[in-house]
Amino acid sequence: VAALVAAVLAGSGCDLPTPAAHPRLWTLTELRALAANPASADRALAPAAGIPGGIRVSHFLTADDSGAVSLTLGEAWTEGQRSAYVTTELWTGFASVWVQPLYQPVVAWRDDGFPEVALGDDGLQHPIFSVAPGSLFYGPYWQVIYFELPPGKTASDFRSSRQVIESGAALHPAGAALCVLAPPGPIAQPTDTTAAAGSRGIGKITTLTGWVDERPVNVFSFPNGSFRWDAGRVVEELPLFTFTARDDQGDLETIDGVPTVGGSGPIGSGRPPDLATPSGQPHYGALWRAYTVTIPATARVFAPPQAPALVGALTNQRLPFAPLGPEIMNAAAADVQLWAGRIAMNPACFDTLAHLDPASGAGSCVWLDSQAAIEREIDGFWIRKTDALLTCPFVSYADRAVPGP
Amino acid sequence: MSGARAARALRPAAWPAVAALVAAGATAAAGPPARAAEPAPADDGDGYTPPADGPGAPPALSVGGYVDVGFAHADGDGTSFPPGDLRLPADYGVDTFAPAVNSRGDVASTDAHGLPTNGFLPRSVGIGGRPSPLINTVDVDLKYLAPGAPLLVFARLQALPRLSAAGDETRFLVEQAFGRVVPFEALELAITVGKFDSVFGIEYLDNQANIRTGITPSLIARYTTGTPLGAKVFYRLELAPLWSALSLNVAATTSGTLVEALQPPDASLTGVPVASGRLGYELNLARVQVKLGGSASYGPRNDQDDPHAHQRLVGGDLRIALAGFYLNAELLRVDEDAGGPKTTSQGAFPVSSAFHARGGYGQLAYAAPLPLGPLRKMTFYGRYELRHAWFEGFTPITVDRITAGVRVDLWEALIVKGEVLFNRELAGAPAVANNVQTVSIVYTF
Repeated sequence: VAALVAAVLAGSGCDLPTPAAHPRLWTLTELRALAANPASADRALAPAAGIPGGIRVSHFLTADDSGAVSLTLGEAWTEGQRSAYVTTELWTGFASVWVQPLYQPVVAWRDDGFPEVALGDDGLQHPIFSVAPGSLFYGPYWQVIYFELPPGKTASDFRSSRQVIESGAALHPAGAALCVLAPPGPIAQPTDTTAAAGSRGIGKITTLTGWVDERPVNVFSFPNGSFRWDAGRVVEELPLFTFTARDDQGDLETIDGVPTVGGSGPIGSGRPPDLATPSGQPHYGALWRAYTVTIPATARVFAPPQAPALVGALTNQRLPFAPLGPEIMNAAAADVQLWAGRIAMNPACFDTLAHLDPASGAGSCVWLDSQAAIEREIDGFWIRKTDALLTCPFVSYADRAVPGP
Repeated sequence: MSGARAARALRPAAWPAVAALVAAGATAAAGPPARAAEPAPADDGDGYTPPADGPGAPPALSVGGYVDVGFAHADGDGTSFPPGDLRLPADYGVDTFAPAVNSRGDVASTDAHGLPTNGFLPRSVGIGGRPSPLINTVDVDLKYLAPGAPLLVFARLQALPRLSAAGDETRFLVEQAFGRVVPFEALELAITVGKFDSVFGIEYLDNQANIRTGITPSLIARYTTGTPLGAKVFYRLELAPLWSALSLNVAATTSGTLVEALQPPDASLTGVPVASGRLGYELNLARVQVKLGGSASYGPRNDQDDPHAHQRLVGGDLRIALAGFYLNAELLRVDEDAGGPKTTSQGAFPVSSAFHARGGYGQLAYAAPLPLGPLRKMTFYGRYELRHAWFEGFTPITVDRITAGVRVDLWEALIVKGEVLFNRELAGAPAVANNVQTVSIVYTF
């Protein structure tokens, strides 16, 4: 009997779901606490998500010697252009992220059909958010729901989504808003400390205060319309490619100091980037799925001596360098800066300045600096989907500030 | 049992210990060569127990059961989802269990209007806001008394005819299936192995429509009235000089005490059992009967696979019977840790969020004997219940409910019940039209 019972109980373990990664979300609340503590400011997060070495806290936030915390500027190539972003959330163990409602009071509708948003007593907008950080269902991806203020009510009368719904106000679903809810305490705007500083625009992120469950909350607000969602309210993710290579010990490493590549559509879709006309402002680039791209053994990072930080990073990682032609070795920094950090499939092109530009024709570099180039040049086996989802809104796109002036 | 001791007791190797306990009980059961009859089952704590055998030689196998035919109407669209509320998951910001229509706790609808949910849903009869007759439950009970052995084998099989927008969703359910050994004639001790009633609190005693005073379960029944799989031991000690008795009911099971819609009972997802138990005291005087109990449950939540994601339940219960009046009351506290991706009997979901609930109810009933022709008894009852709950990071919600109803017993085989539920959203959740009017006709065979 004992054996039978034991067998029955043990049998309950058959065909159970395969253990999956615990869903985990890091928001600015957790990240700020980690960054402000010197002991954890460089900690690697999500080391098992598929990105060798994980993602360091310093990728999100940077603390200076005084403990002041600021958003970190990340570098990316988009369609062969130089772009920059900040990173505000990290999810692991999530198949998808959902859009949540954000409520904005409206006093009137303009002739062009746009709403006239009601302002608070201080003359500012205070959107009402429905989910706070602390829930695994929080995300900075919101659908704006305009609601018409009932007679006799003001914007200040509404501080929670429950109040809006119970008021019976007419609701008008609208478009996408990317609003990152931040913890109390200052988090400074990102600072461009790269060699590109001064030669490109970095947008200023709008800050405001909103409400969630009648509590005030700090908000970083990014340009509207930067993401899409489907009928199941799942936010579309785009691929963000991170390069990996094997060091001289054969270990796979994320290549430090090399910008990521921001895709413009799902893997294999061939979708071009969604850009506003004529401003060129991106209407994409909010939720990213990290992919690793293991470069071929013959590919090399273009790391000229004019980019000493990059050279130092590659040296520390014991990654091989490609020989550079004398014209490049002796070139002015400004002449090679645009190409530094790109990865070439054919490093023999590092012989002349002209060959760095793919427009030079035969013998010029084949760079892995766009989704199309990666999907064209790299066998799909070496492009690996990871378990990491990231919020990385652009603050600079093709060297133009986002949002624009 | 303290949390630390319970944690030590629930190491991943705990299932073999449960098996050994069961085996020991079974061995002891084989001791006495024969026994005269099944002892009269305690009316408290051992869950549903088939009636005692009468004199003579009853058949070894007997068949019983009931048919519960209902008619229900829920206000609004039959759910607690307010129009215009796009928060996700849709089942985190409202009480989806509020518009219950039958004794299983099935609600009129769980249609979230296409919004994603995350597995905090009851079962639905799919009638929405339209009044409709229902076959709530077709129940068949099979009982086998092994001749010459202190062994009872029991199986409760149920058919639940359901229709939804997706089509026929009728289910056939093994609600209970267990063997029970009473190893010592002199002791009121029973060892049960299989799938059986919860041991937590008192409301599980009323799980079935032919037993429950009213129609719908309380707002906290979802946490205490599941039918888990495992082993349990029940012991009752009469203290005759004190007109009293003590009882202890402990179990090690797959899913603890939550209902199957929230935690699947039919397999252990963590490999570690959930320990549950109730210690009860009863005072049996000539005119008044008082029963008190304290319950606890501790172990991994069985809607995910991490054995370190625990759930903790504690509760207290009280029953007083006096001059035809019956007061039942129960208080409950539930705390669940966050775990891995969620699996329930209704599917796979992204996240098992940390969750907390506090609640309770009090029900007062008056049973008037009316031996008039087929009429046997009329029972009038009212219940007040309150529930405060929140998922990690979500707005806490507070709801209450006032339930009133009447039950008429005809002959010994027919029960007619009518009930109204007034659901109110007191805080956190938007107010929504989700009151219920429901009728249940129960034929027992």
